[in-house]
This record gives sequence, C-alpha cells and structure tokens, in this order.
Amino acid sequence: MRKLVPGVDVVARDLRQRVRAALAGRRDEVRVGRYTLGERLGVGGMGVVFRGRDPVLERDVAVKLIPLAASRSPDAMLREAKAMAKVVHPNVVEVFDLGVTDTELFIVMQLVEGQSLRQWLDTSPSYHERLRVLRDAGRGLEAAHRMGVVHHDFKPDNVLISADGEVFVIDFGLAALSEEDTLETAGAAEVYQRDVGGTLGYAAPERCAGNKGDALCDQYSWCVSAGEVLYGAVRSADQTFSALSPVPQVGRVPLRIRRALERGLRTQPTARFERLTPLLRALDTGWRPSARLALLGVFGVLVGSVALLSGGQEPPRRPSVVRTGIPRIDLHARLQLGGAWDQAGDVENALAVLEALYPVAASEHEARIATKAATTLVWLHWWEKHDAPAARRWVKQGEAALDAGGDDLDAGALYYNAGATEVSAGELDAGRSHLETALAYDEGERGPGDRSAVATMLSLANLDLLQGDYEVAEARLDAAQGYIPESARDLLENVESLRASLLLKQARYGEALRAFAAVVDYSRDSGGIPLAYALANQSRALGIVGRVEDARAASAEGLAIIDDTLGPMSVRAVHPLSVLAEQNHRLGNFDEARVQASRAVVILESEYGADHAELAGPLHLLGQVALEQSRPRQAAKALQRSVALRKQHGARPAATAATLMELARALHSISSERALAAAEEAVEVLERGGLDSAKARGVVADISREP
Amino acid sequence: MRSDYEVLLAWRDGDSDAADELIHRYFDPICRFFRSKLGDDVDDLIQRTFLDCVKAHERFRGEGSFRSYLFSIAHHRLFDHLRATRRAPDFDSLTSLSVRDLGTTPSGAIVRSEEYSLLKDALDELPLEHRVVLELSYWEEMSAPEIAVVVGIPPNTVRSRLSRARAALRSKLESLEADPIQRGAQLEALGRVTGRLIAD
Repeated sequence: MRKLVPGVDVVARDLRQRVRAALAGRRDEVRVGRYTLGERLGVGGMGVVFRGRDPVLERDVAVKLIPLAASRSPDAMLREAKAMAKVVHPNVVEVFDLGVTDTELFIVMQLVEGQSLRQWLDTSPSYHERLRVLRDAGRGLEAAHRMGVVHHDFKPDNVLISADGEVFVIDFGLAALSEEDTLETAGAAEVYQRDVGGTLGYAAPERCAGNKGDALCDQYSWCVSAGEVLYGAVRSADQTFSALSPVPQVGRVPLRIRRALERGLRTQPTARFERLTPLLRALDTGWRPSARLALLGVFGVLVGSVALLSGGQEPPRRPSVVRTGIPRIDLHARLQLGGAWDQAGDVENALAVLEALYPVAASEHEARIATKAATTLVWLHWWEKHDAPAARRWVKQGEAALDAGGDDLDAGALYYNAGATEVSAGELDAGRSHLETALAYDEGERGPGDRSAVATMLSLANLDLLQGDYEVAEARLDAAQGYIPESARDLLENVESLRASLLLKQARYGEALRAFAAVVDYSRDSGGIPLAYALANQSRALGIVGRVEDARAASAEGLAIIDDTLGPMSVRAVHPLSVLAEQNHRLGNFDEARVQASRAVVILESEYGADHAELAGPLHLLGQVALEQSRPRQAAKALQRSVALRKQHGARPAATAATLMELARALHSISSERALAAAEEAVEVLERGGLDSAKARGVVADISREP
Repeated sequence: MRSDYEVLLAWRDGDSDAADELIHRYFDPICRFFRSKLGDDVDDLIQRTFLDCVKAHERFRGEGSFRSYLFSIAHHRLFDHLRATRRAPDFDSLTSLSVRDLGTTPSGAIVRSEEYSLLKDALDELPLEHRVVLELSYWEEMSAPEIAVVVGIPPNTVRSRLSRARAALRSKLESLEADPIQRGAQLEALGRVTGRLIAD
C-alpha cells in the first residue's frame, strides 16, 4: 500500500539547510543537478527561485524550482519549459538549462541583478524611461508570441530591471504549467480564481472566466501594467484613463497612447489589437531628443527655410480644395517651396528640403517646426507620391515632435493628413480614428467654427458616406454648413458636393441631379481638377437615372479638362480616369472604358512599376470590360493580376472577393474547375473577413450546376 | 542512542551537535506540517518552532511523546501566524476556515502522484481542524492520545473529530471529482486512508 506521505524535494532540502545553519551553525550544500543553490531570491505561487552556481561554466545563475504537478507527467512539463527556452531575445531572460529531479522541475536561467519593475517605480523614473521600459518589456512579450509562447501572468513583478537599466521579462508560460491540472480536476471558474495561474487584477476578463489564456490576454495584462506605470494606479474594469491623472513624472499621456491602451483593455479579446506590435509602436517615439545632426552641407539651404518657418507670422488657415479631401499644408512651407508642387520635379525638392529640415528642427528642440515639417511630409508622401507607408512613418515623426513639446494647435493638421492617408489607402477605420483625433484637437484648440475644424468635419462626412452612415453624414454636413461663411467658396463647394453624393446614395435622384448640376456650375469658376471631379460625379448620377447621352457628355468634358490641366501622363489623372472609365462601363461605352482604364494602368505602371496597389482597380475594370466584349482570356489575365495585387497589398475582403467573382465569371467559359476555385476562394475571403458570402455562394452554385 | 529529551537538554546547554541531531530527527514532519498549509516560505516558522521547543523544555519535562510536544508547538505557531496575517480574530473561527478560505498557496510538492491530486484539493477545502487531524493521523501516524496533545483537546474529541473529518473528506471528494474513473481511484485512496485510520 503506497502511503500518501510527501516526498522530500529540493525546497525541503534547502529549508532544512537554512534551519540547520540558523540553529546549529552548520550547513550542507544543496544541489540540483550540477548547480549549487545559494540564497533564496523569491517565493512565488509557482515555485521558488534561488541564486545558484554553475561549477562547470563557473558562473552565477538563477535556479527556479517547480514542483512536479500531480496530474502532469514530467515530460509534459519539460516540453512546456523547453518552449519557453526557445524564446531568445534581449528582453527575455535566457534559459540555460532544464532538468527534472524526483520531485521538481528545475529551470536554470540568466541571473539578473536588479529589481522588479514594481520596485523600480519607487525610484520615480522619468516619463521617457517609463515608456522605454514598457516598450522593452513589450518587445520581450512580442518575441515570445512570435515563438508561440504565451506568458499568462504578465505584471510588474515579472519584469526585472538590471542595474544597467536592461529590461527582462521573467516567469514565462509558467502559469500554464500548473493551470491545466487545476482546470482538469475541478473544471470550475472558482478554482482558477484561487490558483496561481494569473494574478487577478492583471488577468484578462476571459481568463478569469476560466478560459485558457493566449497572446491577447498578455496584451491585456501588459496594458494594465502600462496603466500602472503611467498613472500609478491599476485601472478598474469600467474606468477609462481620462478619469485618472498621470503620475507627476509623466505629466501628460499623449492621446494616441491612451487610446492604444484603452483598446488593449477591451473586454472582448477580438476588439484588442491583433498583435502587440502596433501597440508598441504607439509608444515608440522614434525620436531620440539627444541625437544631434551635423548638416554642414545642407545648412545653407536650410537657413532660409528655418528662418521662414520660425518667423513670427502665424500662417493663415487655408486649404486648397481637391476632390479627395482638403489638404492642410502649412502655408509658410508652401510659400517657401513656391508653387513647386504643381510640377513633379519640385515635389522631390520639397521632400528633400523638409526631410532634411525635420531632424535639424528636432535636434534643436524646435518642436513646432518639426511638427509642421512632418505634417507637410505626410501630405507630400500621400498625395504626391501615393506612398502610404512613408506617409505613415512621417505621422509617427510628427507625433514624436508633438510629444517632445509641439503645440496641440498643430496636432489637428497632422492627424488630418494622417487620416486622409489612411482613407485613401482604404483603411477606413484607421482613417476615421485619426480624423476624429484631428477634430478633437481642432475643436479644442481652435474652436468648432474654425476653418480647419470644418474641413475635418467634411472629411469625416465623406467617410460617413463611404461607410454608409447617411444620417450621420447629413447631420455633420448641416453642422458644418452652419459654420461656413459665404466667402469660403471652396468649403461650400465641398459641402454641396457631399450633399449631392448623399442624395444620390439615398436614391433621391431628382434632388441629387440638381445638386450635382449646382456643383458643376459652382466649379466652373475655379475650373481645373475640381471641375473635372464635379463633372465625373455628375456623369455618374446622370448615368444612374438613365440620361445616357448627358452622362456621356459630362464624362467627355471631364476627361478633356484632365488632359488639358494635367497632361497625358500625370499620376493625378489616374483617379478621375478610373471614375470615368467606370462611368463609361456603366453606360455601355466599353471601348472608351477600356481606353481610360488602360491609360490609368499605363500611367501607374510607368510611375510605380507593375506591383503598385492602385493598379488593382483599373485592372479589375479592364477585366470587366474585356468580358463584356467577349474576350474572356484577356479578362481573366487582367483579373488575375488584379487579384494578385489585392492579396499582396492586403486589400479589403469585399474588394478582393468582388474581383475573384469577376474572375470566376471570366474563367467559366475557359475552365469550370478554375472558375469554381476562384468562386470558392471568394466565399472563403468573405467569410474570413466576417462578411456575408451569400452572393458568392450563389456564383459557386451556378458554376457547379453547369458542367 | 539518546532519547529526544536528552538531546533537547544537550541543546539547551549549548551543544550545537545536539541541535543538529534534533533537527535531523524532526525536520521533515514539521516542515510538511507548515508547507502543506502555508507554502514554501516557512523556514522562519520551522526555526521558531524548534527554538520554542528548546526554550520551553521545562514544560515538556520528558513526559509523553516528544514528537507530540514538538507538534503542539508547531500547531500553536501555525495559528499564531494565521491570526497575525489573516483577518480572523480568534482561534475558533480560524479552525473552521480551510486553506482555500485563507488564500494561502500550499506547496504543490506535498502531493505528487496522480491519483492523489484530487485528495489534495479536497484536503485544501476542509476546515483546518479537520485537515490537521487527518494529516497527523495519516501522515504522521499519530494515535488519538498523541493528537490530543498536539491540538489541545481530549482524546475522545479527537476520535469523533477524525470520524467527522473522514466523512467530510469523502463528501468533498464526491463533490469535486470530475469523472467516474477518477472517483474510483479517489475512493480507493480514501479506503486506504480510512483503512489506516480504522486500525488506529
């Protein structure tokens, strides 16, 4: 009969030696494997950590002892511990050795001489130091997640900071080692609560309900910890950070950080960030104020711009109206660059000057100038170069400048441009987030009637239309119009144009047509691209109501203006060309549609190469037109390219699926199998994106029916 | 071989070998007594138990079982510690609390083998007064009179408490177990436990 007497494990042996040492003045070495145990460093719920000595490599280590849990085999536990050892990263404590005794699992790790994050906070570190530590700890977590390892119990006690300031995350995955056995035996939530897998307060809600944790839980725990580091208090369930004040060393927590943390703390795990990376980026200022740059060669050029930008005059609020939005460019910079943007060559100069200006401004702590430079660079990269990633980089730089002492007065412009970039890149939600931030700053700093605020409102209204929030759009337009004086023609034109689009979406065709006509008339005074867009929109409206000839005429006029104003190969022509091509397609003018779409493709290819994301749209159209003209092979070719591009650039599922469905139709007469494959892929894409796949499934059914 | 009492007196007189000897004889049971309820950070409590035992040697006077005497000190230390660190104000209310209620983190090393994992969980949920008598009886193989000395109650009370404790353990196991196979194993283990206790 086996008796239930506890075995003598290493911890007991160590306890015995301590008591002997204290009471009898003698002590034997306690060894685990080849390692000698020294001072006990800590006792946690999971096990005990000792300082240890490796006699072979002659170095000090940390030895963690975990009792072999009752219902897990030693091999299973070793496997888990080995997974942890896989994570190799400067911010994760290195694992040197693993082993099993009769009674325990032992893990031999890098010894970190330092203090826990919790203790470190008592030394009143600076704001930048806090961010750095949080970021480094986050990077450690991120590295683990990449290797498929989850921490399960992230909290300030599990972050060590060495005397040199290096940050280490410890105790990875250990909560999982004992978790499964408890959940098996009791299967009830209250068992989890009392066991050691995850410290309540830092544990994500889904974890407290008894579910096995994952990387999103770690994200939650990290955000709670970040809140504690920045605000000095652990946020309770229904509290937002706006209700808390940051600790004195922090002062102000930038809005984007606060919002990022709040997102990471959402109760619904899927509402959080997909990965830690974007969350960490929100903390990453990317700007080391101590960096200094010697720009001897460039200095001559820069002196002029710096002088102008730092000149006392407050630039007038301004945008020039363009159809996709209203640019907010610091007029001083614009003046400085002379009307150079109108020609591609001088865009490069503008970029060069501003990109050189930024670091100088930064190093001289001229945060306002740096912010404005970054804001302008966002605009240039987005609008002129169609380079969303570069624009996004400059958004970050702008945020860094804001944080380093920039004026909130300038924040609105930066976020406006950031939002416009995201919207035109198809990232509507990200764009909305930025635009709302911009509006908050504009309304707060400048007042709601301010021109900039109004411009932002109109862009948001545009977004509302795109996303189908018609009532919201209408309300916003009404509110905006209330603020616009008669003299602000460009803004009023914008409002009218948006109203007309709204009417069209609401199927109030008569009113929509009248509105579009009014916009066209209005635009005739300005002429140029605004007029071209107005005509394109009008043409579309006319086409929808069946006034084919009038639609054609409007299209033709719009096209003529584009050619006159921009010349044959301007990148700016791509969008109006696409609109017109689409319009002609609808009208059944397939040849013209093909010509315009081809032009768009040619311009894009010559400017950006064959892989640019924007090619997907015109190629889709070319495919559709070819199909209408009974050329399925050419259609398939174009559509296949479009699909490939959409997938490559992470297009929205609706767009990718639409192209796949067109491809299926095109392939139907060539090869049913390939057609079926395309249609099925469309279904999959839609479902993965959480969208309704009924139409796509219908296509699948149709193809399957006809052999 | 010297009796425990002789060793104790030698220690009192300053013989560190004697101290070592006594520790050698009794460290393991005292250690598991504390660890099973409080966790691994118990060296201080173990030390004090041994020290108290030397200081109060006159109370012992060589009568009865040294082991019971030592355990009675440990028992006292345990509840002292719990009173100081938990919210329960008096002894009686403490004894009715379980390890779960107290929220301590008992050492996982206490029960290793798979069959007995449920037993450990059940024990953790029993009121302390039940758990103590079960452990002393089963792990330490103490008789009812010996347990009586440790806990400070009459031997008859020990017996009735033991029988209540076994019943409580059985019903805890029934409420905790997850599947019939586990249950069978636990009941078998219980049978062994009760077998041992019945032979008391």
